[in-house]
Amino acid sequence: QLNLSVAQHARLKIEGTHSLEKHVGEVTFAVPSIEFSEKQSLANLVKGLPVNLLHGTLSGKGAVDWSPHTLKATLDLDASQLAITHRDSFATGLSTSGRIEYDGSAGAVRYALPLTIKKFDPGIPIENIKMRVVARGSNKLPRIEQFGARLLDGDVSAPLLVPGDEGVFPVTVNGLRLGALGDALAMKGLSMTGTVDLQLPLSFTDGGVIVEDGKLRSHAPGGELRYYGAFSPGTLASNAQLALLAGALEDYHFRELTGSIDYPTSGDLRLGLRLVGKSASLDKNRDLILNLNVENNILQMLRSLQASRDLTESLEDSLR
Amino acid sequence: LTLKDAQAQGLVGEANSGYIAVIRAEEGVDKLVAKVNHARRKKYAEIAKRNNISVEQVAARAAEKLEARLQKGQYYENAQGNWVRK
Amino acid sequence: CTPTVAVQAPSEPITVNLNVKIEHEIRVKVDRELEELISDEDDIF
Repeated sequence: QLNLSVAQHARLKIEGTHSLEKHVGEVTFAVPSIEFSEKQSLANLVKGLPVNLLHGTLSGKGAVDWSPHTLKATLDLDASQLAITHRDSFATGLSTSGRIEYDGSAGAVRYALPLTIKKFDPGIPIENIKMRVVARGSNKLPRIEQFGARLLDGDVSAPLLVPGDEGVFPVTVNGLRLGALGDALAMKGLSMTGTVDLQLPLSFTDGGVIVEDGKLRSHAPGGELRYYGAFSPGTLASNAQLALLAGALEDYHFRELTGSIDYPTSGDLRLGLRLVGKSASLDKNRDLILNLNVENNILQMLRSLQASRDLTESLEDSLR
Repeated sequence: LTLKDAQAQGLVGEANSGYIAVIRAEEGVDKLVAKVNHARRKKYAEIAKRNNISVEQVAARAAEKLEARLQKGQYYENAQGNWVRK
Repeated sequence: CTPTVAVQAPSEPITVNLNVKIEHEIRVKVDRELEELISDEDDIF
């Protein structure tokens, strides 16, 4: 009988037995709750992790038992209100709790963890994130069920997402406010109003997440698109037609906005937009149809947004 | 020869690239331009690395700021690429 | 009398096609660092 007992390390308590003849044994371990803070962050405890925890509490206990033919392990996990930073992105209010079971002989992991994140901010804040992360034994790939979140005042939802699976997973965004998008982009001279719904067929590839043949449609009664300084004074002076258009872009009201959305692994979002509306300055009685092909590299946008804020300041604001 | 003197005497100008260029090639101007630009490039690279963007983007942004703070009469490169005095 | 319907010539819409590529120039934090750099390194700026 081999007794295994480690005096309570500042954070970890381990106890266990192992019978040398029968090769049977078990170990229990417990991590009494650790309180993370600015001063006592994960980075202080463990060096070199790509992620840092600097708020919230984490606790867990588990047991492993084995015999010549079996190996079983259970881990009970409780994380509440964690704040996590990773490079220039951060998440706050991350909470989950539940049991993770591992059955060695079947090589199967089983868990069903409800996960909530108050805010995940890679440059544009995504808030009130809720989901269930589920692994059902035989199927190795973890599944994300009932995903929900708020993005730019719109409701994001996806019944099922299975990262690593070849399938296409529908994601919808309802009521995204173009004004909120305009604020997030903070592009000089651009202001938009109106709300849109998006249908995004999402799939997971080796190169990352992609969207193919997404659709976008505005809610009635439409909205306004104002873009000042679309063209430099030099080009305006030399091109009357462009000057006309620049004027129209400064007071354009659309009744309807529809479009296609494609997002490849390169990050170059391509929107094929069709706006039907009028510009009073151009012609009060005739419709002006704008076919806009918009290209916007999301990865570059997020990096630029991340570069334009102070991570610690934004994190502290979110924790207040 | 310091950068301030060279600028005051119209020997060098602020280019759109974020670096300085020779306007009148007098004694010591080439050496000054090489020294100043080398030092600037190092500093721009540090900012670029910290913010995960390209050095050119940092340098181009610096050019806008540098041109804005030039004294009257000093040379800079305008949008069309011509050397003009403030 | 027979109502007369004035058929107003339907004014066709004006259609404009526009390609927009959004470039993300650098933003505030980088500006702040640049301003500090320019004021600190007086001999090269």
